[in-house]
Amino acid sequence: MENSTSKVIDKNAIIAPLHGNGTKKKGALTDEEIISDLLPRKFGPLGMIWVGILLCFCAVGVFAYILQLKNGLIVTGMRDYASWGIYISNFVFFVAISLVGSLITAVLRLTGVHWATPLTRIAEIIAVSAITFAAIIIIVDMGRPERFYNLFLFGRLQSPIIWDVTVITTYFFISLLLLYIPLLPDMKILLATKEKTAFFKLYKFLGSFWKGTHLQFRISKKAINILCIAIVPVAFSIHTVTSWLFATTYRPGWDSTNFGPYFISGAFLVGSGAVTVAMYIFRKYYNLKNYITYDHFDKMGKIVVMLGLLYLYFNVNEYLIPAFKMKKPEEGFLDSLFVGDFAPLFWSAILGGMIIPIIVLLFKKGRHPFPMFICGIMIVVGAWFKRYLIVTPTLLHPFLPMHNVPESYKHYFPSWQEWAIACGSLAGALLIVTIFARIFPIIPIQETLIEQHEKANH
Amino acid sequence: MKRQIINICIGAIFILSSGLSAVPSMAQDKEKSPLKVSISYYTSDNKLPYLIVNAKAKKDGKFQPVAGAEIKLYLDKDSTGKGIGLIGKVVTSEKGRAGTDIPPSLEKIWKSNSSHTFVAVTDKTKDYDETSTDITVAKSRIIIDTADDKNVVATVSEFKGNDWVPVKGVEVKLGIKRLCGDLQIGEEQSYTTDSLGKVKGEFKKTGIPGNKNGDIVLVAKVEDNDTYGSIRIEKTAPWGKRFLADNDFFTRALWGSQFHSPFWLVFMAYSIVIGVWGTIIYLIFLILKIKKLGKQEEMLK
Repeated sequence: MENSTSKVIDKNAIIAPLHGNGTKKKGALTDEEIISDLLPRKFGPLGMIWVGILLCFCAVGVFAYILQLKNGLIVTGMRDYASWGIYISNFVFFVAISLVGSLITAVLRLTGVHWATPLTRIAEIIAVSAITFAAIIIIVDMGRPERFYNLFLFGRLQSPIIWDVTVITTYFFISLLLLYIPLLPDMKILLATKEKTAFFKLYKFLGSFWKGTHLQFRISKKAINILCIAIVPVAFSIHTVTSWLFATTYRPGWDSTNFGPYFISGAFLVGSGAVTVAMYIFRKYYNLKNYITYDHFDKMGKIVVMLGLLYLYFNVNEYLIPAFKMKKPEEGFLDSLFVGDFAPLFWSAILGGMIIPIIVLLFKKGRHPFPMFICGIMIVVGAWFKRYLIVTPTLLHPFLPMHNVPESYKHYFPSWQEWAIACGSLAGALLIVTIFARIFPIIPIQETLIEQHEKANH
Repeated sequence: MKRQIINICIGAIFILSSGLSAVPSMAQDKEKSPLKVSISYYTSDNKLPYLIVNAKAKKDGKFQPVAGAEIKLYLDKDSTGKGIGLIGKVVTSEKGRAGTDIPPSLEKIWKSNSSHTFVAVTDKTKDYDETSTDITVAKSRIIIDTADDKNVVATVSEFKGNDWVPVKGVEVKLGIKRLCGDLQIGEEQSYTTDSLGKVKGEFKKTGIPGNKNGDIVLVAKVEDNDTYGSIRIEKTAPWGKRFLADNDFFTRALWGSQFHSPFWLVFMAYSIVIGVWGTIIYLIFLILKIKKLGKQEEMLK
């Protein structure tokens, strides 16, 4: 995908602060090779096409949003009953996928798992891009976005919407810090390249002060540890609060105490699925086979299976118990999911987004890169539709029957503007990840070097 | 041949008779549906009476309200049945109803007699023929009184000559005025006046919420009486339970307004926000510290 650029590396500037003596085991990569492999590269033809496609999607999305701003929410398929459509589904999806940053970076780091080092930055940039678009898409859902400031002027502390705004903002900044602080040592490596790239000024602005002293390393390590501890409760809060937006509303399908853990387990699953897809793409097109190995896929596959089973368990709780009781107001909602209008989508999401990936990944061959990639895509796509199934069918099954309303109020199908905006937002999130990988190393160079040296010393 | 002619004649007679019999039914289809107008007479608190008219017509086999029907209302009629004093012209609502007071201009006619006839007349329209209907009502009044032993006494009288005369055998309902209707005061649905025109009912709804002073409104009414129409009177009595308005809206509660959040929520929310954002600020401080160390290192070189 990318043209490799030959760079002359000032080795002394980088290796000096590293632990160990820099000796090399037979067959292991040299420091120069590692740095050369992991430095960001210019887009090749495929990369340019990919960026072009993403930009086109974004442009169409922006155009659709301009139309929505001009004509109001009437251009959407949302009406009095289905007042939340794919915008909110998209929002929940983005919030869910953003949780992966806390899982891969924080949870695995705190539990002493080192194999995930090459995946931390992938997870973090996915988290930052997803949370950015979660915040954007919620404004898109507003009919009068220019009145957004009223939320801060007149917001009530008792409202879950205020909690959501607060935790999203907090999580965004924590994720940004968790992306930035471990990036500092790599800035020095980027600046040490003799060839001045187009982003040299950016690197200088962001990290020219990093000299790699032991004291700087110590403070950085302390900051990362604090961040890893802080991000876990914030990550749990962000998705629990998102689930409470639904669960605090008395409606069939939402009136559940199961919603917090149900959302969090689903979020970890979709986040892991997204990381798996990103792992495969970066490995293949950035030629990172030495850094994202079969072993990484194998271990990620096991994590995905565990998270899949966990999410399946919460799904059983979420649907089986109400279906067992089959209370009258819930009947229509559950019927529509199990055997009604939403049944094809529902069963596809359950089978394709959970059961099939779990079965495939139980086998060792299923945890190879390509099957993992396919399973990752199935999980992510299934998760998107699962969020749609959480939001919309409930709204179309209110407790009070729909009487004397126009026929269009009784159904919901997104308009082209909604699809365009939703696809544009997804493309925007992917664009952030793509551009980040163009500017910064997608695998932490410094940490990889340290690990390599530690392995050599052992 | 002869037989054939007879058959043709019989057939022709059959066809003709069928055709002729169909004509009236066709004509009937085109006939206008009759407009049915009814008048109700009401008096409240023995003040000036008012009238409610209802217009309905048969449609799809059942009576349905007629909206927009213009009805002229008259007070009393002459020997030919024609209305004398025009009360007014009313137009029925979507529910087929319209109402009016008796205007002061008819005071003289009103006072001239102890009973009156009200006439409702509609003109011929493209949908309905003209109609005329009337009711005759005797002037009456109802008085309500309360006793210390929580009994409600109502007296119904009729205006005869120059005096009010008690009326026997009139059905009276005694109740308590509530938001959506009247609640009966005891177990009896209605009472019948005795020779003194009185009814007496025991108030059994103790503990019923009243206003902030415990006042409730008692009602005595005669409904749809053929002679007197509907008459009603109300009286306030301190027999209810004092009702204290719930002022929770302005207290600190989950449903409270912006600056009325419960203290526990304020404490918890701000503790979490301060804790987390304090950590973020501390982390920014650490970054600044790293930056400072970097600059010092640069200066040393």
